[in-house]
Amino acid sequence: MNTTADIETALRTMDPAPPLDTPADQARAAADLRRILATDPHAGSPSKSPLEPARRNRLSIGRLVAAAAVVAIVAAGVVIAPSLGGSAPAFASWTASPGAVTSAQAGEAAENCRDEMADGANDDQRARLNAASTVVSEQRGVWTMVVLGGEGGFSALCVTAKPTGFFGGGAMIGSIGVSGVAPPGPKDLVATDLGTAFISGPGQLSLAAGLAGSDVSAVTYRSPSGKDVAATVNQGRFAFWLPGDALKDASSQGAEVTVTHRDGTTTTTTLSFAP
Amino acid sequence: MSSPPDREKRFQAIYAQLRPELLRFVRRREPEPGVAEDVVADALLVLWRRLDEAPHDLDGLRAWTYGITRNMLLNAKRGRGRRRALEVRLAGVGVPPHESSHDGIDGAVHRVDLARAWTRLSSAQQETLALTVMDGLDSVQAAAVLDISPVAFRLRLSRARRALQLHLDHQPRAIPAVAGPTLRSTS
Repeated sequence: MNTTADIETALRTMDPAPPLDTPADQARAAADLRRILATDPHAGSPSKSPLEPARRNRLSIGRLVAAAAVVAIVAAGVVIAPSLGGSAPAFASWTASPGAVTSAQAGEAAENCRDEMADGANDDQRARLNAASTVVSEQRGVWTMVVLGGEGGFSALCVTAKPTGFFGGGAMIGSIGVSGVAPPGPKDLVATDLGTAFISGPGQLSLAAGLAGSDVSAVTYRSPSGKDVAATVNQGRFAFWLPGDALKDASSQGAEVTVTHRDGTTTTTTLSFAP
Repeated sequence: MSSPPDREKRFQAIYAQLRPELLRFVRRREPEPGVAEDVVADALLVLWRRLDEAPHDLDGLRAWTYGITRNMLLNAKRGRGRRRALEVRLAGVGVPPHESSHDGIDGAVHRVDLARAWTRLSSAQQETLALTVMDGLDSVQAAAVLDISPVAFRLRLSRARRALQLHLDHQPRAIPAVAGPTLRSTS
């Protein structure tokens, strides 16, 4: 039997954050102090930090490793990443073409996504979540993707797998936020979510979602292994995902996709956050 | 309300004192490089803008600012509602599943055992213990950070200590091989 004092003494030796006083840290401290003092002290509590827009973007595009070891890279806003316990299902059941989702399944997935994303969301996001409607729902193997869309570029996206069996685990990643992107032209696309995510167990996945012009009827992405991944296109939105890190550089370099228009013609375009 | 120069001087003193410990507070809960600096900068920006309503005594100010920082980190992580607490990791200890639990040092707490027991705590238990043991806050301050009463915090602390002790005293001796890593839910 160890005493509480013994245990806590040992714990202190395992502190993951030892004191840090490097020149780089001192420079960062001084720079942050300058930036803070340069802001209006009476502007009220910031809902969005005025500090370094680029830095904020880096944070919001999801470099965070959440506690359950899931990372998402999204542009719409924010990250996410709870797991449901147990081991996450593999991606083995994933399909390049999305399967249909019944209206009951879509409704359940949408409600789950709403619940998941509401937790931790701010009041504005909660209100937008409540008002948002399901614009994309699709099934790839055991994985369901749902996108909730709302006014002003709001979107919430969830990719989930239900727990299976008694000890089976589930998993979920998602994003929520208001996209600052301008609406695309009739034949164009613009991404709101583009990048890779990681789920402990099955590993990395690549994900793209966004707004589709009124003349866009289909979107296909050819993976590095030559697999044609068909996006779901609905109500001016598109979304697809695939296992692996094929889109790891897409947030900065874009991703080439084939767009099919309503008259049957196709064009190749680079999917990115700017139309 | 203090005059602008006095206000700025006061903030600079607080900044110098609190920023290093806030960085460590976040790094204990978020290992991703660079995130701690961003979160702390944002928290201190809030402090700068709300300085007039901040507690004047240092203990109260610390707890108040830690609370802001914690909320910002929680917000950044966008955890689920069931994830109202922040997991805390331990440093430098791998936890080989089959490693012998004791190294023959009677009475010493084996770090591998402790690391393994730690991972079996809930996030809330980890955070409760870390606030006291690593962040060095007293019960009143820690309670303020978590926005609960000191009595409730002391109760949580007592339970968390008991849980850790229990896990330490009941180390698994043989763990069957499990394929793949396990995702842990937190509460």
